[in-house]
Amino acid sequence: MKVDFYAKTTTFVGFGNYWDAITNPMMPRYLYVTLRFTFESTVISFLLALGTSLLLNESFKARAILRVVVLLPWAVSEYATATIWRYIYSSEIGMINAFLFRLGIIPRYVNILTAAHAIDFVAIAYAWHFMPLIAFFLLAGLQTIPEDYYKAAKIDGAGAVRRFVNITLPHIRYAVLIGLILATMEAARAFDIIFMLTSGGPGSATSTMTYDIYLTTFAELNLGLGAAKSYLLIILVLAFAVMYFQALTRKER
Amino acid sequence: MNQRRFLVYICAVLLFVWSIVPIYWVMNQSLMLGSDALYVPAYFFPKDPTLANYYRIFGYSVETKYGTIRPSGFAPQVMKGMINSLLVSIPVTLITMAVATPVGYALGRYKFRSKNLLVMLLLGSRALPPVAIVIPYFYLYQFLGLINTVQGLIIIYTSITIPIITWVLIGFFATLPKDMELAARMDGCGRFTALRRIVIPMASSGLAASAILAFLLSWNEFLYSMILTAGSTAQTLPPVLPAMLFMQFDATALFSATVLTLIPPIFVALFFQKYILQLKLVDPVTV
Repeated sequence: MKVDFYAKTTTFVGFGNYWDAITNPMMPRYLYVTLRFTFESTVISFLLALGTSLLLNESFKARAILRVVVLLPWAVSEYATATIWRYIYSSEIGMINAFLFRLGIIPRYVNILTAAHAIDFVAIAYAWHFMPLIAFFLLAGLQTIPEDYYKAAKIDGAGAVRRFVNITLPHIRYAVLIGLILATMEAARAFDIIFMLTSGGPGSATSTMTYDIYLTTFAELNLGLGAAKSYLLIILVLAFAVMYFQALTRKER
Repeated sequence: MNQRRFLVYICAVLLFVWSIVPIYWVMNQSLMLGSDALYVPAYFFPKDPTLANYYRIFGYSVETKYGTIRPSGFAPQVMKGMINSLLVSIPVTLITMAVATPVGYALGRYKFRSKNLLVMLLLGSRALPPVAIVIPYFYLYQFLGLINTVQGLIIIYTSITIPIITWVLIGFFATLPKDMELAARMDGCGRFTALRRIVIPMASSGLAASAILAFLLSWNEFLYSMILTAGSTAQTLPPVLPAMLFMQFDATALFSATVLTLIPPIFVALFFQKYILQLKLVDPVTV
């Protein structure tokens, strides 16, 4: 459907909008940025979460305080995360630049969010926000493991790695899968972080599919094309979801 | 063993720094006057700390070393935004709990046909990108006159919170011991009486945690409020930030408004950390 806001008319165009969306020369670019962002932020947040949950499962002083502090970034909203990290990365008043400059590592301020790597840094900022949720999922899984298992394994002479693979992993398998599902789907849907941190720039270096849909629909006011593009995104996210559910149900048997 | 202790503490310190530094940074910036906050290279600790920026976004002018600073032009939006955010978040929390508690109880306690499908659908609703969902809502709301209204936002927010909270509560109800409820049923309680008098009191900590989570989800939502209320009298707090950033750049107002949006999340982190591990993550499909 083609909508003209000024003439207040709509024209039926069949699958024309889908054809426009797919043949758009920028489409592979948006898809690539989306996949790269999703992959990187999932991997970073998952690895950090695994380390965090193993650490929080140890008993040490100040653990209770650390748990609160670790949970903080998750409670901070995605748009506030983006605003905060905008002024960490900023090439004018950014924290990282100020830090490196004061230590004398860089002679003058550098541009961190370059066209080639901006999306990686956005993924790090997103991982900061998303990691605690997965960490607490994993921690909940870790706490169901009886201590005796580890003692028995130690007596039998199993090393730290063997103990992790044979005792820890099977127990937290469900938490791992749910964590991965959520991280992937949320990252593929992420919009706030792109909008407030880089606004898709520099150029179109961080324009994900979500950001492109937003621009098409609410800046260019091309609602039909925007809707067609969002169906493509839904298909992508659902493909992830189906993939994971397959893995989830297969392993259950 | 000592080596392991040492390693644990090193990791703990690193984790602490990683989590707290970004939040510290925005607070640091928000406590300085404009020319200090934008000074290059940036100050790591607030130079002449002042609450002037907070006064500004609440519409007061302040006497400072640089003379009188006028209130921010965004002050009305910030104040109205906070009120609207509460007017949205509180009803959303109440509606969500009223719907999700019985649904979570039913799905967590009873087995019936196509239950797996229902649980899958709950999770599946999370797969839809908000930026895609908002397009039909935008159309529909214009048609229904719900655009730029608090009520419209409440309706769309419950569509986010109800599936998540239900899913969390399924796991929670499934792990509650069944004996008490069974005993009450034996003594002649109906299902609803047993739910009201036995199960809900037992589940109170989990329900409280879920309510906090629902509040946080609706407080933190950004895209729907920007598309459906920005620029109107129903505008909530989140769309004020991009206005400060993109429409009329006001750095110090942006920093202090960002900190303002962090207040409920910080409280949530303080209280929620005790509960989050109680919300046991059992597999709702196999329950």
